[in-house]
Amino acid sequence: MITIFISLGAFSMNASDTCKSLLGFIHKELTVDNFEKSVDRMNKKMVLALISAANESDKLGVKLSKDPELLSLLESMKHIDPNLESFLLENQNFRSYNFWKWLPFIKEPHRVSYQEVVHKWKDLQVKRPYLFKNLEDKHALDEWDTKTAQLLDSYPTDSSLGESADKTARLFKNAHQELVDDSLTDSKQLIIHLKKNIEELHKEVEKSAKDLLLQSLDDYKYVCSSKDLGPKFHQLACGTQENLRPVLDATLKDISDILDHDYLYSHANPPSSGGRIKIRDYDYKNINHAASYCKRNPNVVDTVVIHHSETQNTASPQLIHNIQVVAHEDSVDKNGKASPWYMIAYNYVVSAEYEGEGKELPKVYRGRPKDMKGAHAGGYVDIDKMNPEAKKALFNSSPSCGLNTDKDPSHIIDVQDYRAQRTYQKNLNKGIASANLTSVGVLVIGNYAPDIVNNALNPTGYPSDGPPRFPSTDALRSSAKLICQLRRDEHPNLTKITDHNYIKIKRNYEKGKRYAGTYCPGTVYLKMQKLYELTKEECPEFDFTLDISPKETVCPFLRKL
Amino acid sequence: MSFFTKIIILFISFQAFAKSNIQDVALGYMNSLDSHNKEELRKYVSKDLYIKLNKNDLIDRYFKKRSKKKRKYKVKITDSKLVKGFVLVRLTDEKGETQSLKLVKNKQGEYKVQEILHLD
Repeated sequence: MITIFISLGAFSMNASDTCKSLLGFIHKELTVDNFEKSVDRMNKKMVLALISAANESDKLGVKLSKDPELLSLLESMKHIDPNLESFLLENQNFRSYNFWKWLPFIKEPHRVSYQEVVHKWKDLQVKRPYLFKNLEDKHALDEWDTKTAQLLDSYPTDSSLGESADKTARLFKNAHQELVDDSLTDSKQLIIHLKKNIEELHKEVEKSAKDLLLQSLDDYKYVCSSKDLGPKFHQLACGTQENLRPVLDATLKDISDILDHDYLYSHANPPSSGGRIKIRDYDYKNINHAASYCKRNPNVVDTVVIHHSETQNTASPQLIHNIQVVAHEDSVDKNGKASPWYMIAYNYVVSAEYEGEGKELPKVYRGRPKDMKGAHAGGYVDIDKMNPEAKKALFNSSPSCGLNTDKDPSHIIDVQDYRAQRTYQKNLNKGIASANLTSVGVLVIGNYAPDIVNNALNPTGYPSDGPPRFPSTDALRSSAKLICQLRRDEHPNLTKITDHNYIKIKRNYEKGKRYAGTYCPGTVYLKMQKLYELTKEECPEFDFTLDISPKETVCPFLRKL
Repeated sequence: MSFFTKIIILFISFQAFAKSNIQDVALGYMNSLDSHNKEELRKYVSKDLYIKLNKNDLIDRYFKKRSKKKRKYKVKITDSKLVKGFVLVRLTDEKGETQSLKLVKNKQGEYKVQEILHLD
């Protein structure tokens, strides 16, 4: 800020006066882009601060419920929305306050504005630096943020912008309450809500401030060039005053540095969470308890297999579970014995938007528990080519298979099925193991194949005569984070990343035999390299190898792309 | 014939009727694809699926690729005991190519093809 004002001071008083006014306007009155960016900047900083505080308090075991600043914030939020009172009464601190508020030394909380929320955050950052030690200096709330909040407050609450600002402020309060209650998992959920709300607020900011800017820029339209005004307002630009060029350039650069939108965006994903992603538990209905399944030592897993669901990307894990359970309800194995599936085939499910669709954050759900063998890969792997540690675990711990006859939700085997164990032993003697035993299946929900594929209809696919559909970078990044997390927490010997097609055809292909692959995971196959790079970026401390289908083994539609 | 025997026979006949109804719908769907008959196809699929099939001229493009000839199909029906209202029909043609269809009952009690499944 100081630099900008110094730069502004460098303008001469005559010719540059109008331009100075314009720049002054950009700073002081906040224009469309700046107002929008400022609100975004301020909110992002508060989210970052919240993430940092949540993580630090978790590490330190600090009971934030004893924090008077937070209680005060919580209390004042009640005045933003009186309907929150019943909700707040669930909070112990708030209940205590309610009980003791008649005492003369307990101050009556006053109505808080967005500006006050920012102010309280700023205060908290000064008074409790240990909670925010992961934040860079540029992420600390400053005067500019106070101004932004002040402008937001100037919009009446009955305007759509005012309403949206209020809503966001309330969410910040809820997030604080999560901190107060020490329920940090929920606070992460709130952060996601918060980000959604911030997006809505932005749309309102853009809408409301546009008129203000157009009206004001009209007064200065003969001052700056189209370059200064940007492509958005090109039509308003006229001649350029060459002598002002360097000063103008420097000042505009300062503004863009301060309002470094992209930088803040890129850091808006929890930086202090160490690339973690929340794996949501999912309560699957219609589990087939007549089906047997196998439990394994999680250390035998050395490969992650990527799939797509060939459904709409809005399909729920339950829907995919239903399809798979029904499809195998009457299945029989090679020997004619019943071979139904217990539940969804995959261990993890990633639900995300397609590339270019929107900004909703991907969600990761648990499929089969980590110690349950999947039913997703098909085929076998050569034991000699396995990760040595995983191989050791494979020989030292045989899987146990059987039925969950009492239908308990923790999937404990009640009746053993020794047939499956014998098969496992036979395979070991042959030097092979079931690919399902040594891998985890990650399903990316969506249809990444064309709408006509292998002479069959695939109505949820992308038009075969149009551009292909790809997973979003967010979906890939979430999958990468998941892989890192699996390696870190659940499967320490996980070292290979592969696609479903390859796991199915691999052994035959390598022996020069005929192979019958699958077109799963569709165009996700073409993003496997990117997934690998993102995984390396997310957890550089681990070594992974990418082992994907050779191009000649994939479906014709993929070979053409 | 005892009362219970009659009830059992009635139940089995009802089941058989329901199965033949499901089979007719699935075969009707496949035959309308084989004969490139869009109007016929409309009878066997749900409204939503019909809309999807017509989006981006999908069905017309598909007819261009699919040769117009009658085929014979082997039918396998899974009327799920686990998932209410979920009927899965697998139809295998002479070449061994299999199509999997999900059928559901509409409000009028008729089965319609609701989804084309790719089980891999």
